[in-house]
Amino acid sequence: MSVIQCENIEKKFRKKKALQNITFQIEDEKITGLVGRNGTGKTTLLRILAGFTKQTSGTVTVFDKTPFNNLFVSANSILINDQMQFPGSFNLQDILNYATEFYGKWDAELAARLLQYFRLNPQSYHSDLSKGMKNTFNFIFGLATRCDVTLFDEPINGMDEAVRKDVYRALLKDYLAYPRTIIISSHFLDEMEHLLEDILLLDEGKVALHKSLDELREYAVGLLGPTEAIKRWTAGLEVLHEKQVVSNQMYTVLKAQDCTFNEQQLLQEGIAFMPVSANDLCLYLTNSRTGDIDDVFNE
Amino acid sequence: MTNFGILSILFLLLIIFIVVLFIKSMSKHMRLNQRPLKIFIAFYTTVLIIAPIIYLVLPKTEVTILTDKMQKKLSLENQMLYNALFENKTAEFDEKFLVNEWSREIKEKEIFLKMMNPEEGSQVGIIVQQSDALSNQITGKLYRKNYFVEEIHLRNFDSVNINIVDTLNEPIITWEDATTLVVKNPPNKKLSFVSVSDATDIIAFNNEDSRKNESTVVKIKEWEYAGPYYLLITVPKNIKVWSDEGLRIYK
Amino acid sequence: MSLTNKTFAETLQVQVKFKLHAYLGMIVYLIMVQIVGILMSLMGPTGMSSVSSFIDINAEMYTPTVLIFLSNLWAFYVGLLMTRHDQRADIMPFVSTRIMSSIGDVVVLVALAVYAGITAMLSNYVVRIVILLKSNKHMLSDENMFSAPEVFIENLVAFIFFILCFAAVGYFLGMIAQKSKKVLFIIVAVFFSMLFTSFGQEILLGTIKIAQFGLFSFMGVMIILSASCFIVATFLAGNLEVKG
Repeated sequence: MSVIQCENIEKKFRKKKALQNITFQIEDEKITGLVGRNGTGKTTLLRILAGFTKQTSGTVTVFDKTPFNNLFVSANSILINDQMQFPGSFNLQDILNYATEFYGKWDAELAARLLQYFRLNPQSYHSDLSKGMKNTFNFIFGLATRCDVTLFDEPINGMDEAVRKDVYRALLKDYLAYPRTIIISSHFLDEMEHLLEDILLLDEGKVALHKSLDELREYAVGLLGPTEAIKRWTAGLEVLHEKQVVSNQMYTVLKAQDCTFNEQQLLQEGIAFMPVSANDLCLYLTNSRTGDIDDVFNE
Repeated sequence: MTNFGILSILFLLLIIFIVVLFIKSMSKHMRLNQRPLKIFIAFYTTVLIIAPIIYLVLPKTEVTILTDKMQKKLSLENQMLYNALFENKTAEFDEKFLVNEWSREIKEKEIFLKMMNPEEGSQVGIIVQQSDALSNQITGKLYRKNYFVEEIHLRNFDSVNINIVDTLNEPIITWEDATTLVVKNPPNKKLSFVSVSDATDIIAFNNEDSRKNESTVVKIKEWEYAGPYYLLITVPKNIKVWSDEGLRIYK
Repeated sequence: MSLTNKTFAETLQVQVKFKLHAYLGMIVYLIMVQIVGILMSLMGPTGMSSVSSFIDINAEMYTPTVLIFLSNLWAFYVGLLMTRHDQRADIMPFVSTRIMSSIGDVVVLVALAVYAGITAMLSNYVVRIVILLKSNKHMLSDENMFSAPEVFIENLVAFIFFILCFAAVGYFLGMIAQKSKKVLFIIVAVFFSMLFTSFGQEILLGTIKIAQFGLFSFMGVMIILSASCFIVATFLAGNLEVKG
């Protein structure tokens, strides 16, 4: 059953198109990573799903309902981001107390325990917290709501590595105990690869790719070898990424489906096969330029 | 709206501006926690709820507002006193209107009456009565009639009349020398009245536009014979009475 | 998957409670404003006058005018503040819709107006206590809630609606400002230019006349004014996207 369905969503801010032609479905009880470069519309998409913003055209349904101005969707979904705000006069405990009343499935005990674990004083104020602490609190809030659709927009920004690791672990544990639909947008894809089942890759406001992580791992192949040999082999094929490693060595990433060549032959020419990590692949797929920053400096 | 009204509103706005600035700077440094906030609000609200009860039990000097009937009665009494003064029948009014009484032995055969400030209008009506007795005894009786403030207009209120007789100062009556009696108008008396109301003129539920425009006015009605006091001087017929202001002498 | 399904009324109730708590600070501002009002009432009573030959008569009238005036300004400020983006964003982590949030705001404003009205009326009694203690003045007329309950109740009800109306106008203008500063400017400009036309003045004076006809017509005018402000504002809020 698909919980989230998007069809042909377009979102314009004044004249600039933030999202276009977005069509995808997200199944129930899956953790999806929402990946993309800065400014590709990840936040906008999440805000549309949470009902914070209305799409310019297209249809969005969450639990078969349009999320914008829908109470049912609001009660069963939550968007966690670093712009979350709470009334200035509420301390963390007040916020948690109200969450109990608002969210039917709120787990107060979990929230209290996590707060204690992450050394957040319930008497302190949200606006006094540091960026990382704020995001930790927001994450706890999001997790404890147990909403069936939980959307995290860059939840781990500003957290230190130890906290990030704990957060991933907490998310995974709670997800296993109470499976639900979770979308996480993050720049730290390689850190959370083990959490994710699906990847939704956005590029310039469009869906570049929506696949399971396993599929993604097999999506591309990296070739490393003498430049001249690689050039010859990849002629006419779609190159996802290429990079001059040393003067006569080159690294190229191709789609796995195109690599129909004989492995043995390649090895003889000194070309090595290398797996491409999901994180790197996402980078390559969303990089409009072939080459990288080094090329800027090498003329 | 008068210029004064506009000024007071400007003044109000200034104060509000200062208060807003104060609050803003304060809220930066202080965070009002929920609990002290609630206690403060509860305290203030309790004080306000108790306030009317305290107000009710506090002793107040309330002024009786005269009804038309009461006013007529008082006016009639004044008239009767006035008549009695000239008919030598004041005894029956002594209890109610007599303020003080004195007598004095005079060795000379004449006395002078002197008003200290006649140009302001005398507040004391002097009546000289000649008695048949042959003696040196002069008696004086000071009467105070009902004297009331009429037409105190307060916004949203009808005009009200009150009897202020008990709060007036007495005229000063002294002997300058052996034969000169000086009567001085009573010293100025300041009277403050307060009127409190739950109604305001922002929301005035009345259709009479005429009344709305009237500002608060207090008028004092000067009664039939000028001034609230009568001084009745009884002199034996062998003593002559003189006055620069002129006198009416009754037998 | 078990989804929570709370009714509109249930959620609204929680939301109103939440917002009342969030706006407790506003009540503290109200109290400060009222204390200023009490001091100002004491400093300058309305209607002072003095006439006469040898008696100076001074009659002072103490009414809740200043307190109501200040409460109105406060209500306008609160209405305006509620529409501010950061205030509306406060509810977003919780269960809400724009329209519900707006209805919640209206309920909270009504509650605050009731509180402001009652406390403004009661503050006037603090003023009375102080003048009684301050000097032994003669009470010319003492219209209080015990001697004239009908006056008290009539004015209390009128004030509550009056304060609410100011809050509604503030809320309305604030919401317009959130939508578009230009539209706000146009509305304010149109309103003031209307005041300079005879037609606009007639409408204004006519409304004032109707309002002063009696308590119920006053309430009617206030309710129509507030309701239209709130309805338009809620409608606007329904389409307003929340940043953050």
